[in-house]
Parts: sequence; structure tokens; C-alpha cells
Amino acid sequence: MRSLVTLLFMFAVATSAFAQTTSPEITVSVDRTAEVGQAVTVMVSLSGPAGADCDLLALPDVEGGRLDVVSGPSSLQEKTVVNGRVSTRFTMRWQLRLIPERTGRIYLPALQFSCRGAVVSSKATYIDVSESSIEPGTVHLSIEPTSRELWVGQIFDVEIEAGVLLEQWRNVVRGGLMLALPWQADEDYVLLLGATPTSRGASEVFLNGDAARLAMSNSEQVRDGREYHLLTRRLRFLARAPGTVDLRDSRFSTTIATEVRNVRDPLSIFGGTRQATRTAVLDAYGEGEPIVIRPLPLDGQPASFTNAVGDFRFFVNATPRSLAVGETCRLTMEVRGVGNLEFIEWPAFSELDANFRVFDKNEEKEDTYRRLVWDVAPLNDRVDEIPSLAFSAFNPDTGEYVELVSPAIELDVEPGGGGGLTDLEPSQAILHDLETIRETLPEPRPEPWPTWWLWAPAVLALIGTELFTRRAAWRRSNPAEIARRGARRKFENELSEAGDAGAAAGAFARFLAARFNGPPAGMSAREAAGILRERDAALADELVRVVSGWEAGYLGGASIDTATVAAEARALADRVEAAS
Amino acid sequence: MNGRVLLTWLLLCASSWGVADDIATTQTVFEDATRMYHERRYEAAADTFASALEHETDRARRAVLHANAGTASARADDLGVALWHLEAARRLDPGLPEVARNLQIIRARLRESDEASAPPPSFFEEFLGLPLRMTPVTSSRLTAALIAAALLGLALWRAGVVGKRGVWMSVLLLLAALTWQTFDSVARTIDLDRAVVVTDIVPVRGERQLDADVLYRLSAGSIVSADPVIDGWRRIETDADLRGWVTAESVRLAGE
Repeated sequence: MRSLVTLLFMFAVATSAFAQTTSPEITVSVDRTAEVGQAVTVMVSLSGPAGADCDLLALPDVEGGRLDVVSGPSSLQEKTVVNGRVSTRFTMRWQLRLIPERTGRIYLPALQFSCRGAVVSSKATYIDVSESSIEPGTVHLSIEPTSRELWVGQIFDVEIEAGVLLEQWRNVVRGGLMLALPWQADEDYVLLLGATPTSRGASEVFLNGDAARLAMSNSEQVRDGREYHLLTRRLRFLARAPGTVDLRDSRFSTTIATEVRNVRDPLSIFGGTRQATRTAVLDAYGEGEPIVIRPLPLDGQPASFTNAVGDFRFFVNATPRSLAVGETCRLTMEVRGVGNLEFIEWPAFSELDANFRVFDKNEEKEDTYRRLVWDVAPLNDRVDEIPSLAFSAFNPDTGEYVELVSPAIELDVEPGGGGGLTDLEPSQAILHDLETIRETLPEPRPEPWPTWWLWAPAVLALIGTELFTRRAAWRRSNPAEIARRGARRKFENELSEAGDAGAAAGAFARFLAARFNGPPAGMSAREAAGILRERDAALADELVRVVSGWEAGYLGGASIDTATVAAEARALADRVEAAS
Repeated sequence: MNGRVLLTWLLLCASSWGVADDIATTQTVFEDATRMYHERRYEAAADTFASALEHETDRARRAVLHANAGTASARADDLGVALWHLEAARRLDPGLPEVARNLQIIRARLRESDEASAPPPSFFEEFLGLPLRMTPVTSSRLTAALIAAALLGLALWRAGVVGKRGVWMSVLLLLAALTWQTFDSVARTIDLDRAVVVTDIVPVRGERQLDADVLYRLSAGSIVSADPVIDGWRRIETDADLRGWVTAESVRLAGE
């Protein structure tokens, strides 16, 4: 156990000792004197075993000067053998450049490095700066926009003119021209769209650091009575958002050689080259009022306005103008003019929604125009025109909106045929799908039969059936009456057929038998009178008397008229029926 | 006596001459309206078809005139009037196929834009509208046929051809006839009480005054129930149970 504690203690001591030795040694070397604008080289190196693992953190702000990294980090590895023990030493170096911008003492704050997770710092140092020996006004910068009052969406140009006194132009070191336009770099308010072409043999200038280069035309001109080598270029911008663009942030920096030496070069026909051993950076700043970008006014903004700002013209064309439902017509909408053409958003052209279906949309975009090409199909044959279409723009010169309205274009639309599409409208909206009208009127028809004609026969049938049924039932329940009625019919038939008085008397006897339930051969008058006497005694006597007369005449051989017998028999039959 | 016969004959001739004259007038107006329609003067065609209705009394011909006026109005985007004409055509002759088709199209289109309209008719509502798919004459004939069948059934029973089942069948047929006739009468009464909004975006107000609050708005073609006119206003009720007052000329009753 004791040996383990001893081992851990020794490990801790060794680790602590190692940690102490890993902290790198930081060296900052700089000339302590300089002139304003003179590029002062600041060499920074970190040495030690951990030197290879260090990173320079952010550069500090230097009050009265500009500090930037020229090169680095570069690494160097040294191995030393002392008494057979090999030690390795790493060194990392940065070359910084400090450009004093004022006279007096300028402090270079401590530089911070991150080494294996630990932050280490150098010691702060300073330099004493004296007036520049270079003539003031050696460099010149002019930033001139076409307008200092803009509207959002407006396109504008900025003329940039940077110059170096002609006698110093030959001292400008290679790559020593830099144009800083911070208001352009952040793109918050303005967007660089392009630049005008340059003349042949243009000079390249670093733009906003060394990330991009801008070619600028060369010329020699007099400014403020002095002769300059001028670099010019016109840049085009889009005003993106309301705000203020301060052009005084613009800076043109020129690095010129203040000390040179000749370097022999056996391959050069001039025998050697000049090399700057001391340089100075000369700055010129932009001047003038800032650019103010104003928002577009909301008052008077037409419904068809999207974002067009400029002076435009609007054209609409359609072809063909005679078509059928289902066929398409090419509708071309074109905007020409000066302004933010590239960024224009087209209106929805909802005027077409009611009567057209848009099948295809294409767009052509050129520097001088924007063209929208739609293939539209009329929804029905009632469509007779392409309505007026509106395109609105804001004119920055007048500060007012302008609504550009195209004239309506007449169309001749035929109904869709079998070869064309006929179902363009959505199912809820198709009116051209309406069935068409009837071409002929039907012939006038007579008044329909009254409906009782249908049920009246049924009523009659029911009544007839009922009567028939009732009669049949009555006949079944009154057989005697039926027999009596039958007897009279039979009596009449026999009377009409009787050839003499005897036959007529016989028929009457059979009638009496039928009425009084006598034998089928016939009933004598006395028998019948016996039955009748209780009801009508006079009739009974009359019956006996008349029939006895017939018998007497018949049996006595007297001539008896048959018609008389028949008449008497009918009269008696009537009275008998009434009495019975 | 001879004078009376002569006078009657003359009156008959005069009346038949008038009928023939009306038929000729209707035909001429109809042809004019058809020509306007083909010239795509749909609004004028609709008005002309409607004017021909003044001279026409024949039911089938009136149905065709209403159907054509409705179709022309629809093509002129006057959907309220179109719906009214087509509904009138349907009442006169439910068997016209183009009327059913055009009504379907127009109703579908109107349903999209009418905020106060009811949803599509339910099965129950479709059932209640069953008698309206027939003309009144056809419906009466159906009733008469049911009655006749019932009476024949009773007659057969009385004749002893069928038993008591025949009686029950006849009673059922009579009940069916009675029910159908009642059903038909109620459906037609309700149908004739309905009105069509013929002008677009009609404000429905809470009172019978032009400055009264606007409760809601109805688009052309909306179907409502309407009360009789009172001082130039009608009280209406939509299928969504919304009530209010509208000017009398903004709606047209089915029976007008």
C-alpha cells in the first residue's frame, strides 16, 4: 500500500513538472518607432514543446492604428541533443502588420493564444509614431452616387474614383491597392448588382480585404490642381431596405514603397528588380452626405403593385385570337424600361381567373425586358375578351405609383368540339356544360283525360257486381216469388200462342197452379177461389164466375172469342197477383 | 233557335281563331329567341323566351319555354333567374332531361358561393320531393289508378272471385292512394311557397326598412321560403333557418 501511494505521488509531481514545461514562450518583436501610415511589421512567435498546438485568437483592436495578419502561422521544429538527451522545440510564427493612423504612442494590446485548451497571452507593447514624411493628399477617393435620396427597390449607380499622385504611382507596391466599402460588404441595405465595363489594361484593386478584386480603369487626370493616376469604376446597386448608408466609411488604401533596394537578376534584361524594404500605407476616405433609403409609401399603392420600382412600360399580346374551348392562346406580358427589372415579381393577374385556365407559364428575362408567357384557355364559349391587365410600378423620379393597364383583347371563342378539351371548368363551375336549348316547340296537346276516367269504370264494375250479387242472393232466398214471376211470363207466352179459348183457359189454369203451388197440369178456379176467399172474397167469386162462363161456353159448343178470354184471363191474373 | 246555333258557331270560330293566333305568336317569338341564343345574345334570348310564356297555355310548351329561358339566363350568368325558370320547367314537366342536368350544374355552382345556403339535400328531403318528380296530372293518375285497383279488388271480392285477402289488399290500396294524394298536396304546397333569390347579393335585414341592420346576405339562386308581400317586403327563411326581410323584387315565388 505504501509503495502505491509513493508511486502516485511521483506521478503527480512528474505531471506537474511536465505541465510547467508545456507553457510556450511568447515573443513579440516590433520596431518602436514609425511614421503615420508606415507599415510596421510585428513578428510574434510561440516556442516550446506545446508551441505547435497554439492558435491565435481574435486580433485586438488597436486604438490609433490598424492591425492585420500578413502571414502565419508558420511552424518550425528544432531538435537538440545534449548529453545524449533529445529535446524537441516547436515554434509558431505570425507576421502582423500595424499601420499607425495618428501620431503619438500607440499601444499594441496583449495577443491571446489558445494552447491545448489553455489561454496564454503575450505582453502588451507600444510604438511611438511621428508625422508621415509622405506628402498629404498623396491618395484620393471620391464616392459619388447618382442620388443620395433613394427608395427601396430603386437601382442606383455609384461612381468610384480612387487616385494616387502621379509621382508616387510608380512606388505603389504590387497588390498594394485596396478599396474598403463596408456599407456594400454587409449587404443589409444595398446589393451590388454589377459594374460598368472597364477599359483595357485595368488595374485590380482588392475589395473589402483580399477576398475579391475589382478591376478599375486607369487614367491620369488633374484633381485639386494636382496630377493623379486615377482608378475609376461605376458600380450598380439595388437599394434593399430602408436605412442610411454612410459613404464616409469608404476607404482607399495604397501601399507604397518608402525604401527600395535593387536586386540583381541575371535573367532579367534590366539587370535586376526593385524591392521594397520599407512601405507605408496611405489612406483616403469617402466624403459627403450619406445615402438615405426611404420605404415605399403605402398611400396610393395600387392593388396590382408588387415591387417594381422604375420607369416601365407594359405590353400585353395574345395569339391566336380565334379559338375553341379547350384550345390555348399564348398570352405575352412584357415589361420594359429602367428600374429593378431583374427583381420584379409579377402580379397574380387574377383578372384571368374567372374565365381562363392557365396551362403553362414561362418567363424570359433580359437586361432590357421581362417577359411572361402564359398559355391560357378560355373556360367557355362566352369568353369574348382577355380583360385589361394591370401592372403597377413606383416611379422614383416622381415619387408616385403608376398603374399601367393594358387594353382588353377581343377573342372569338367557339364551343369546344370533339377534338378539343371541353371540360375546362371545375365541376362546380361549368356553365358551358349546360345542356343547350330545344330548337323546336312541341305541338300543342289536347287537355289530358280527367283522372276520374280511370276509376269511374272500377266504380261501375263494383256497383254492377254488387247489384248482381244482391240479385243473385235475393233469387236464392225467394224461390217462390221467382216461380210466381216465372209463371206470369209463361202465362203470357201461352196466351200469345193460344189458338182457341180452351188453350187460353188452360194457360190460366197453369198460372193459377203456379201462383198457388198447385199441380203443374193446372188448378181449377174453385180450388184457387178457395185459397183466395180469405183475402178477397169478391175476387174469388169473380174468378169462379168467369172461368165457369168459359167452361159453359166451351162445353156448350158456343163460339167464344179467344181474345176476349185472353183479356179476361189477363185482368184476372192481375187481380190475383195483387191479391196474393 | 237557328239564331242561337249560328251565334254559338260564330263564337267557336272566333275563339279557335284566337288560339291559332296565339300559337303563331308563340312560334314566332320562340324562333326569334332561338336565333338570339345562337348569336350568343343570351340575356336577350332569355327575356324573349320568357315573353313567349305570356301567350302560351299548353303545359308542355310552357315547360320548354321555361327550360330555354333558364338555360339562356344561366349562360348570361343570371343564375337566380335561371334557377327560377328551370324550377318552373321542372314543375311543368319533370321528365325534361336537360332541365334536371342544368339544375344540377347551377345548384352545384351556387352552393359554392352562397354562405347562407343549406347543405345538399338529405335522403329524407329527397324522399319528400318525390311527388315533385311527377307532374300533377301524373300524380293524380297514380292516385286514380290505386283507387281503381282497390275498387276492382272489392268488386272481385263481392263477385266471390277472391277471398278476404282481396278486401285487405283493396283497403291497403285505398290507404296508399289517400297517403300519396296527401303527400303530393303537401309537397306541392311547400314547393310553391318557395322562392328564388333573383338578384345577386341581397341584404337580408332585421326589419322592413332599408336602413335596418343587415343580418346576412344571399346570393342569386338561393332558395328560401317566402311569406306574402307586406309593403313591398317579404319575410323569408332559408333552409339554414335564417330569417329576415328582403325587398319583394329581389325574390321570385315559384308559383309566380
